Order: sequence, then structure tokens, then C-alpha cells
Amino acid sequence: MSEDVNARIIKRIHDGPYKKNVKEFLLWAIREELHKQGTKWIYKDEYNLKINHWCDKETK
Amino acid sequence: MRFKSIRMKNYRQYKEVEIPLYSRGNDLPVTVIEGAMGTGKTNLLNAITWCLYGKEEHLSIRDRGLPIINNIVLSEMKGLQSDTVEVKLTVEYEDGKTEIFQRRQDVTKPKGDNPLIFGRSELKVFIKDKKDRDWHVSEDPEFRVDRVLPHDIQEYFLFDGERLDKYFAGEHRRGLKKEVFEVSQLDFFEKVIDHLEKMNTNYQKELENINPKADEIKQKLDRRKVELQREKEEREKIELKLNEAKALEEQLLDEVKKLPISGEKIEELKGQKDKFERRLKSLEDEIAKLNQEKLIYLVDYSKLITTYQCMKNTKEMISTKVEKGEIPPEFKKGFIEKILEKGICICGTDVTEGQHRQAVQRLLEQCDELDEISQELIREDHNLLMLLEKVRRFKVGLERISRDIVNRERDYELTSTRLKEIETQIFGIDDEKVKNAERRYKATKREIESFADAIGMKKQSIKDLTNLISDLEKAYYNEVKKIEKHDSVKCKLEFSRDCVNVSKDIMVEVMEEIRKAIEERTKDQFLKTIWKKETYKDVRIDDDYNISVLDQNGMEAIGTLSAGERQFLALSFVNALHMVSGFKTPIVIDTPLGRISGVPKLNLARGLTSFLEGKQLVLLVTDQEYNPEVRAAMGKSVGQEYRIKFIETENGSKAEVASYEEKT
Repeated sequence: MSEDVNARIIKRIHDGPYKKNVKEFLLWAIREELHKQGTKWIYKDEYNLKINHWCDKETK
Repeated sequence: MRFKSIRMKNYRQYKEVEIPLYSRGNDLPVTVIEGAMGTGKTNLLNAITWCLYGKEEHLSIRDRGLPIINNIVLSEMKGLQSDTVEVKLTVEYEDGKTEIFQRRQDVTKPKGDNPLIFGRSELKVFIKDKKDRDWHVSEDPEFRVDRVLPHDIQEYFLFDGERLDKYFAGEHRRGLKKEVFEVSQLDFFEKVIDHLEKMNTNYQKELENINPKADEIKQKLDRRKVELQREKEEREKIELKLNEAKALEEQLLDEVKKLPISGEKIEELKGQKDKFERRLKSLEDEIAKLNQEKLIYLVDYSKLITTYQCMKNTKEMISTKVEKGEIPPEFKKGFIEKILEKGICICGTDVTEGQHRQAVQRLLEQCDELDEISQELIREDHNLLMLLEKVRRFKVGLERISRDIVNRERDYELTSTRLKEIETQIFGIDDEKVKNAERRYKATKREIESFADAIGMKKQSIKDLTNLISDLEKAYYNEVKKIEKHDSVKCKLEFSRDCVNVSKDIMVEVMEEIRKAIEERTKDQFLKTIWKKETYKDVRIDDDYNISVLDQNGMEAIGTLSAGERQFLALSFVNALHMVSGFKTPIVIDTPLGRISGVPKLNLARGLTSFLEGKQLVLLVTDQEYNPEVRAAMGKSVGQEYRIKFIETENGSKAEVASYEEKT
């Protein structure tokens, strides 16, 4: 398991001056990409679902 | 992470071998397995890749033609008998968890000379946590493999030492950046960015397809609503006027009903009156004319009537003369003239001269006179006949004129009577008042009709507008939904853009960080352990991962590196990559010192162990590589030492692994 680079990316996302929803989405996306590595998955649906979720949260 | 042991059964040279690669209590990280060329060193590397990925990544040309199953086992198998090839790699983690990666494949020997039948190779992963007593089988063995070492980057951990020598040469050099990305696992994050950019493109397309016209429709809708309201208000006003007009109509109708005679009747009577008056005038004229005619008639006939008897007598006289033959005279003037001309009478008397001639001449003179009178009388007779006839028609004519006069006088009286009746009927009536009343009534009625028409038109207009508004409201609702969708997609687009921008920024920063870290680590490792410390002063790696070694004069020196130095630089770079990757996976190098000899070999041997930082290193070495000097140089780091014994039998060959000490 790669820890250094992704941990570094995650730390940057976490500590960076970014919007909370952007941070949480990117952390989710990295987790998913790592988890789904090598498997066939329909990222579009899951990405859209998650982006929708954050947009909904933002508008509410 | 440590490779604790590898166990091979029926795998190529290894019929039944288990090699402990690490034991707790012995923290020395290097395991050396020595074997002569062709004894099965490289197949230990293959056993690991076959176990983890089902592929023998380092198979020699010779072994490619041989079955995976040990040839002794195969020779002992009878027709249709099966046996299993198996490799088990035991991995132990820092937290005490242990995983056993087990790959098995059945091999069946067919009858006769037919080719071997290979079953499907199957990977199982058995897991046991430190606290657990029992093993459990992983449901996702490939995922467990990826946690140990993803296939894409295995070549940086399990490799042939010769590869190091070519590390910075030719094609391989150009692919370094990609390899750094692979090893550093940045491709995960690249995938995130790639997926986000694709989402971005999709949202953009989606947004382009949504073109809400809600504002436009709303404006139309509002205009129509105002129009509808105005129409309704106007209808109400007209209805109010209609009601007023109806009330007025009732009132006027009462007034009209109370009138003695209708305006129309008055007009009719007045028309008749005019007609009768004209008729009376005409009759008066006609009567006067007839009276005049009668007078003229009487005057005309008065002469005839007064001379009637005289004419009658004259006529009778002429008639009598005619009857008597007196007129017309019996002789003709022409006849007498012919006698005078011939000078002889018909009686034969000579009348050329003398009294006879004179007598004939007198007769000729009388003849003219008589003839004229006679002719006159005959003409007058006819005239008298006509006049007498006219007198006889006098009475008829007079009667006709008199009758005409009487008829017209009667007509005159009748017309006068009727005229008086009409005058009596309209006497004392104020026809203007009647007409006004009726005119107002009719005007009011017309107004009512006009209001009714206007209301009808307004109703239709209101109905049309209501339908239109309903349609516009539906359209507006659809457009609003589009707006909601538009806003939603826009939000998603902006969000995904934000994510892409943030990711790219982070990517750039991390890439630079990685580059710097690799550069620093490579430089540090290389310069710390290289034996020519005064010759090489700096190692640099640019953005495209082109590596430079600078000498004491700051000049590029990579081209002057010896094979050992190149290998050492490559090892420093690989080690830096390992550091960046974060994978704690052990390194297995086949023939690490094969191309080097003498002092550089010893330097490399010492250097190999110096930058491990606890990482497990398995070296598969030849007896020539692992000579006593090398062994002594590495001695402090080596925890396990083995030697492969190659045994040839009648049925084939096999390798066994024994402790290194058994040699001595």
C-alpha cells in the first residue's frame, strides 16, 4: 500500500485552504480510487452521486 | 513488512522446499541465497511473481520450454495422474499480522505423448491477525496482493541486477518519469483528476444542452396575465353598462308601449297621406285636363253639329246627281280635243271650221268647268261622308271623356276620404316625440346588442388568454425545472472544476516534492556510499527525471561512471523510489554483483546494506559474486544465508536449499 505519496496528498488536501466540500470529496475520491484499483467500476455514477451530494449540501 | 518464508512444492527445480527468509529475533535485514548458474536462483524470483501475480516475470529462455511442474515429479506421474504445483509466500507485517499467499495449479499427465493438461492457477490468501488464533481466507486475494506490491511496480522490487546497469540508458531513461509516477502511486491521484475532468466535460455538455428560457416565458406570462386582468375588468365594465342599458331599455319599452301609435305607423300614414295628396293633386290635374279636353271636343264638334243638316242635304244632293249621272259629265275633254285636232266628229261632221267647230270649241270650254265642279263635288262628297261619320262618333267620344271625368272625380272623392281618415289618425300626435322615444329605445337595444357582442368577444378573449396562460405556465414550469437542473449541473460543474483545480495544484506541488525528495535521496545515498567521494559532488534530477552526476568541477560525469558506479547510482535511485512509494515491500535482487569485480564489487556490497534502513533485502547470488570478501563486507547486515544444492537424478533434477554453513 502506498502510504507516503498518497498520505502526503491527503495531508495537503486536509490542511490546504480549500472548501470543506472539495476537501471531503477529494478524500473520498482517493479512497475510492485506491479501493477500486484494478477493478472495473463505473466511476461516473459514483462520482456524480457524490458530487450531487455535495452540491445538494451546498445549496441547502 | 517482511517476506517470512517461501515454500515451493513441485515448482520447477523445487520439489519440496521451504526457505525461511526472516526470523523474529534476528533483525539483520539481508538474506543471501547462493547458487551456481542454472541451479534455480532466478526461479526463486519467478516463484514469488508466480505466487503473487500468476506470472513468471523473469523466466529464462531455457525454462520457457519446460513445464512449471518439477520434472522428477512429472516423470513419476502415471497416465491421467494429477499433481499440484504450489508456492506459498508468507508475509509478516510490523503489527504482527501474517498473510500467506498461496497459489496452486493442478497438472495432469495425459496418456501417451499428448501435452500436459494444466488446471487453472488459483490464488488464496490466508490471514491471521496477531490476536487471532485461526486463519481466515481473504475474499479478495488480488486486493491483498495489491496491498503488498501492485503488479505494475513489482519490477522495482523484484528484479535482475543487470537491470540496474541499464537503468539510465536509452529507452529506459525516457520512461523514468512514468516509472516514478507508477512507483510513487501518483497514478491514483491522476485517475482522480482524469475522472474529474471527464465529469467536468460531461457536465459542460449537459449544461450546453440545457438552455432555459424561463425569463422569456415569464415575461410573456406576466404580460398575458396583465392582459387577462385588463380583459376581465373591461368585461365587468361592459357588463355594468349592459345592465344599465337593460334597465333603460325596460324603461324605454314602457314609454314606447304607452305611445298611441308607433313611429313606424306614423311614418306609414304620413307616407300614405303624401301619396294621397299627390294622388288628389294628380286627379285634380287630370280632371281639369279632361274638362279642357271635353271643352275642346265640344268646340270642335260644335261646327260640325251646327252644319250637320246642311252637310247631310248637300250629301244627298250630290248623291242624287251622281245617281242621275249628272256628275261626273259623260264626255271627256281629251276626246273633244282629239275631235278638234282631227277636225271630224264621230258622227262624221266636219268640224275643222265653222259653227260646228265653234260649237265643239264651246263644248270644250264648258267641259273644263264642268269637270272641275264635278271633281270638286265628288271630293266633297267623300269629305261630307267623313264629317258625317265623325259627327256620328261624337257621342261616343263625349261619353268617353265624360266617363273619364266621372271616374276621376269618384277616385278624387275616395282619396279625399282616405286622406281625411289618415289626417284624423295622426291629428294631434307629436311624431317627433314618438320617434325620439322609439329612437332611444332602438339605440338602447343596439347598445345592448353591442355590449352583448363585446362581452362575448371579451369572454372568448379571456378563454383564449386563460388557455394561453395555462400553456405558458406549463412551459414556465418546465423551464423552471430546467433552471433547477441547469443550476444543479452548473453547481456540479463548478464543484468539479474546483476539485480539478485543487487536485492539479496539489499534483504539481506533490510532483515537485517527489522529484526533490528523489533527487535528494539519490544524491544522499550515492554520495554517502560512493567510494570516489572526491570525484562526484552532486546528483541532480530535472523535471523530466533526467539524472546528472556532477564532478568536482561541476561538469556532467554520468557518461564516465563505471558499471559498478552506474549500478550503484541506479540502486540509489531505486531506493529513493522505494522511499517515495511508501511500500515497505522487501527487495529481491537476482545477481546484484554479477557485472562487477574487484574493489567496486566490495564497495557495492557494503553500499547495498548501508541504505536499507530496515528494509528486507533478498539477494540471489552466484558463488562467484558472493566470495569471502563480499561476504565479509556484507557480514554485518546478513541475517540468513542459504545455498542451493542442485541434485540430478535418473528421473530429472531438483534443487534443495541448505544452510550456508553446511558448505564449510
